[in-house]
Amino acid sequence: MGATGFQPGRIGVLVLLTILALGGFALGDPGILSGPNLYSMAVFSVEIGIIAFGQTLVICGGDGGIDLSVGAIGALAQVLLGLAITAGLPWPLAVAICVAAGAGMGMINGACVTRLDIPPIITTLATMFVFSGLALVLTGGINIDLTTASAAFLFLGQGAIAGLPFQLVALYLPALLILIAVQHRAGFGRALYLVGTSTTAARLTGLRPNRIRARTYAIAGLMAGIAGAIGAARLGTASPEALGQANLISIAIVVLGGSSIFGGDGSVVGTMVATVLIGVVNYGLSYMNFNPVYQAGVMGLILIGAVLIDNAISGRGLSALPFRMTRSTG
Amino acid sequence: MATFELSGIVRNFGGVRALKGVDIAVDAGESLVLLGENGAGKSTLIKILTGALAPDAGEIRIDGVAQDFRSPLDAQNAGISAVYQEPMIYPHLSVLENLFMGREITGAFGRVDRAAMRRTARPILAELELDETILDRPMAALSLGYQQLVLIAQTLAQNARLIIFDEPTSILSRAETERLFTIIDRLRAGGRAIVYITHRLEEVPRVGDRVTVLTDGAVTGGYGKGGFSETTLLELMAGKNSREIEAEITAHRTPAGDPATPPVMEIAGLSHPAHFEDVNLRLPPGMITGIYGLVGSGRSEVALTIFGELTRSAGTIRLEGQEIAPADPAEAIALGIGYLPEDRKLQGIFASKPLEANMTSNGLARFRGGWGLLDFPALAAEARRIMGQYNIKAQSARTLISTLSGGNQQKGLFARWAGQPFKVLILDEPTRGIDVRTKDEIHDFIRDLATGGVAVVVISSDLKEVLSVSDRIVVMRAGRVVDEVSGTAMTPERVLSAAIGAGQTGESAA
Repeated sequence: MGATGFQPGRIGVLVLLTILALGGFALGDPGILSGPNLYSMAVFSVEIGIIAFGQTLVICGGDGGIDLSVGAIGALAQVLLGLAITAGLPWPLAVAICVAAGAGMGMINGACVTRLDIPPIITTLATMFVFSGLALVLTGGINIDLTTASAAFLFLGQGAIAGLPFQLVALYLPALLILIAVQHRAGFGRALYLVGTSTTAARLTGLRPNRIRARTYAIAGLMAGIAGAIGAARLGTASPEALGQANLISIAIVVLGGSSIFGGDGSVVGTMVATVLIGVVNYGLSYMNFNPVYQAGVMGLILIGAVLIDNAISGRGLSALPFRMTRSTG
Repeated sequence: MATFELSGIVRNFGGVRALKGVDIAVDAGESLVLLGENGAGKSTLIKILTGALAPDAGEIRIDGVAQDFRSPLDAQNAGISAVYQEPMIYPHLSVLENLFMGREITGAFGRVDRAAMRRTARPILAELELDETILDRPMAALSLGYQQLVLIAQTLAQNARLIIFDEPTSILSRAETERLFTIIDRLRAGGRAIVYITHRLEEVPRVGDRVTVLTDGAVTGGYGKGGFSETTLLELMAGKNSREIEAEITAHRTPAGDPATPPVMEIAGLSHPAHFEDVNLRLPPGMITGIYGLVGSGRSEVALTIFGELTRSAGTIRLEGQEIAPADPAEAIALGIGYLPEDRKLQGIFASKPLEANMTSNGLARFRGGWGLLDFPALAAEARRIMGQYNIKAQSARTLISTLSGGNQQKGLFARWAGQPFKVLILDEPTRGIDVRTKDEIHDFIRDLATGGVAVVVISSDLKEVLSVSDRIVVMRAGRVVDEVSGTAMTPERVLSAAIGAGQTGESAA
């Protein structure tokens, strides 16, 4: 297996944490393991999970690669979808506009980063404001009601196939399989790992870092567009404030999934497992009637906890902790 | 007994013995010039003397007392400070802050006492004839020459008794160089010991009371003032075994490509605004062209321009008669031009990636099948083939390259290029920092490449390497081709003297 970046250690830790979390919640209330609850967990996780896939590729590209605008892209794309449907366009066309708009916004990010040389964190911080601002302007801040849209459209977010959520079976899992192939089997994925590991070495070996990175932003935008469409169909609403948390949570999930924030490492498989863990924990906390404000804090603790466990297992242990100071000699 | 003595200093890097038992000594009020070619071990010796590296064997004594430096701070406290080639400064801080960086004078509660720092700085500035107003200027506002003076002032603020200058004039203009020499004279007269490192022969009599020549990590000569001539120093730098090298050259000389055959690549008037000017080169097939020059002579930049990584300001590049203008390395590679970069760590390896990914990175297109998917079995087979052909020792192709020895890493990178068909292959420092045996192995591979018809260029700072592997040698200095030799004219003395500009006294390469 020539897969680089695939981190079995971290993935194991996350699976363990997920089982522990589920078990813990089940101790409190075994009802959480019921079919409807598991179904809901999946439904709530798909959108952020798809966005986190795109984020994984952007971060893998290295050189500060990060996309803070993915949630805003999803919201603006969703608003365009809502406007298209209310304007009377057929729903497949509206969905196509939504996904294409997402990809287009990703391309804008990519162009700013690679052609105009604006650091990714600044580019996407700016476009995050621009895209969500635009979504607010287009709607006047009011949600667009889509509950009367075609049932076929609403099926995207509410339907089921063989008792499983449609979006999980027909969108999320295929996306996962395709991205596993892209990242671990395709020339693009290999080039992305190399570019993310060392820009200079990659360029001097004939790869084109800018071109490759630009594509990751386009893919991230595309993924956000898909998530936006699913969200609109799930709630029967296009909201300028949809997916607002995805900007940062997607980054947390990617890092939790074992990707290096410096690029060149990590896998969509890790991202998938991290998505499941976060999905379980968030759902469980709401289910057990914890105040939702705890969710953010718990996610932060999980993030740090996973890194520490990982370090302890791989023997990097204490040297990774900031309080063991070694004497500098240089 | 000298004030500062180093005896029997040995230092190894991996399998490479950089210093083979070096003895040097310098007294208070005396200046010692350390002369040596690139890679002779000067920098390593200085790092040991300033506490940045620990010697594997040997002893540093000050006033007869053995020292154990564990950090540069220890060396500074013992009175040893260095002024490096490229000023190491904090550009946004003031000169005063730079002067006392890390050694601020503090009052109650750790408050920085600027007034006391000024009082301390005043006599030092006077000694260097610097105006006191300079203290408040940001470091970045000063010219390189003045920044260097501030660093000298810093060594004085640290009460240095031994000041090391590491090729200080390489960044200075003529006037600044003259001023520096005056200052060095004054420091010496004030009782400080000076170690002055250079490869500029013409500076030796001006600066040094004595000169020590370092060749291949060993002291090969020491003279007092007036006891040497340029010729003797040059011969020593080139290595006392230059006869030996010549024997090796003739032994390995491949039947050189016929100069009459049309060149694979022809470069005319190639210029770059910052790095080189009017470079002409003909690269015949099956021939190894060596490019020798000191660091900063523009060698690598010429290669990077041919490779599409730097943009030329003038000149033409012809490949098999066709004019080419690769916009980036990807285009150059597609045209059949390969380049092994000089800096293995920064430009070469993908440290956290397997050997296989490192060796195939420039040829991924060849392994692309349907749907853009890579043919993994073929990649693995190619990796195994390359490992066998170039005798790369690793557990498997999946071993991370960063876990291999330097020599095997370098062979992996070399194989990245040599393992594929190129018309022109430029190898920049192909054996830097690796052990002798691997070096010889790579040299044989390079000769095989030429025998196979590739136009090979070997860029090297290692005189012995360039002499033993090349069919002809182009010498560069300060961005220009200054000599071109082949056959019996390829002597160490001739190549070295062209590279350092011997006989052209006083000319500054600023």
